[in-house]
Amino acid sequence: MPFPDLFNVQFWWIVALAMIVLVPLRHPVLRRWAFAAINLLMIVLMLKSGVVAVLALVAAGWLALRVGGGRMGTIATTTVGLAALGLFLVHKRPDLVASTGVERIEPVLGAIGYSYVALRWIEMTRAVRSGRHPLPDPISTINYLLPFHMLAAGPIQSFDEFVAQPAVPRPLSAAGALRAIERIASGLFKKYVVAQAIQRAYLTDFHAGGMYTLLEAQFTYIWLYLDFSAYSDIAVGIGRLIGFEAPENFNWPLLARNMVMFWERWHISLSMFIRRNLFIPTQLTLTRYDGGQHPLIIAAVAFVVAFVPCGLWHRIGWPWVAWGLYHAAGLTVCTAYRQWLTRKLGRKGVLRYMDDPKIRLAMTVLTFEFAALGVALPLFPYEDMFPWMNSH
Amino acid sequence: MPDTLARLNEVFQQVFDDEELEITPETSAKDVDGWDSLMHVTLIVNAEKAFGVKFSSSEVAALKNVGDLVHLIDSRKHAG
Repeated sequence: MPFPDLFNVQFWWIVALAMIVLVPLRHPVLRRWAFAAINLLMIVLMLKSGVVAVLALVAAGWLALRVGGGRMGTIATTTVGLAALGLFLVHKRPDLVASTGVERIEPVLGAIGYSYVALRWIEMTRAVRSGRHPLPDPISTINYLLPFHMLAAGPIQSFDEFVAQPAVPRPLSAAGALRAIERIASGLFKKYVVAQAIQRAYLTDFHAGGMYTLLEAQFTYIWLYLDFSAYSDIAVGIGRLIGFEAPENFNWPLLARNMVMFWERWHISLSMFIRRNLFIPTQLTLTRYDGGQHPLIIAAVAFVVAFVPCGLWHRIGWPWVAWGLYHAAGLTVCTAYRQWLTRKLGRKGVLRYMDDPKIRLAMTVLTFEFAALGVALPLFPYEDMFPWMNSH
Repeated sequence: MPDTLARLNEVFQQVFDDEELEITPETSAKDVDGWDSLMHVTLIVNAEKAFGVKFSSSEVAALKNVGDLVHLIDSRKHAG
């Protein structure tokens, strides 16, 4: 599956070390340095000398911003951005560069969760280049780009949120520590008990075929939610313990009543990243150009611009392009339906309609099924059905 | 700020088609029915027109509540 498995003994030793060092440490500068040292130690344990490559990557991203604004700054940021994109291609499709030697860097990228590191770098770059925040020092850059508890599967903390965190958190209370440990335990239970039981009992990677495919789509959706949200639970719990908090990433998405609501509840940090960096810029530009005359068409275009790259971020290939278009279509239909209802019933009438228990149930079931098929869409073994595709 | 808030209230009423809508600096998307990610940009473009200012997409994405928007409008008007 897509996530590097960091949950080994070494990882938990690092968690223990982070708690021992960071919880009593109340000096802001020493805390930052200690956290950076722990983050780098995690990478050294995983990659040994590969840490040099990771540090070179971070240094390149930081130096590109250090050049500052103006033409030189744009050239530096663009150059590093293109190199980062090239590494992303290597990370997601090492088969495309097989036997060139470049593919040997993929294990390094995989170990640090490069997909997430790259998005954090984009966040930092936009915040610094737009003047919202000054360039962080190298220590803070390491802490933002490579937080050990968010390497495996995010979440993708926004740079604004990272900067807003207190330099020294409130002292950890016994109740707070207990809640954090409960959160970690809940994540471990979800991942290693419930999700694994579902996987062993019901999932065949869609090789069973026939009518079972529809049933397997439901189980795959539930399994993915349990497995993925478990990583977030563990990251959030550890973040609370050590005082470097990870943002919430899931909010009962299986109970969403429409696809807009679903994307406000599923992988929240990624959907907020897409909203900030793709959806709003596209929609803002087109709305200004159009004068707001065709909001639905603009929304449809913005959904495609946002979700096709989001699909390709998961994996580069046509099934993920289809996944992006599928979600863009779902969100457009959802938006169009809401607009139609508003015209027909008025704003208050829509609220009454949405509060009807039968409508709520029907919409929840429909949204669940749409999301479940969306999860299944890129995972079907297309190579079995269409050998010529070979997943490209 | 009071003038900006009052004028912005008119923009909100127009965009959300609700003459009874009253906003405060603390008002956020969860307090206004229909203020979703789609309406957010429509609201911003209407505010830009009403106040004769323009915002960057980073600024628009970073807004958390009405107070942030009022502050942004005031800072832009004073800068202009």
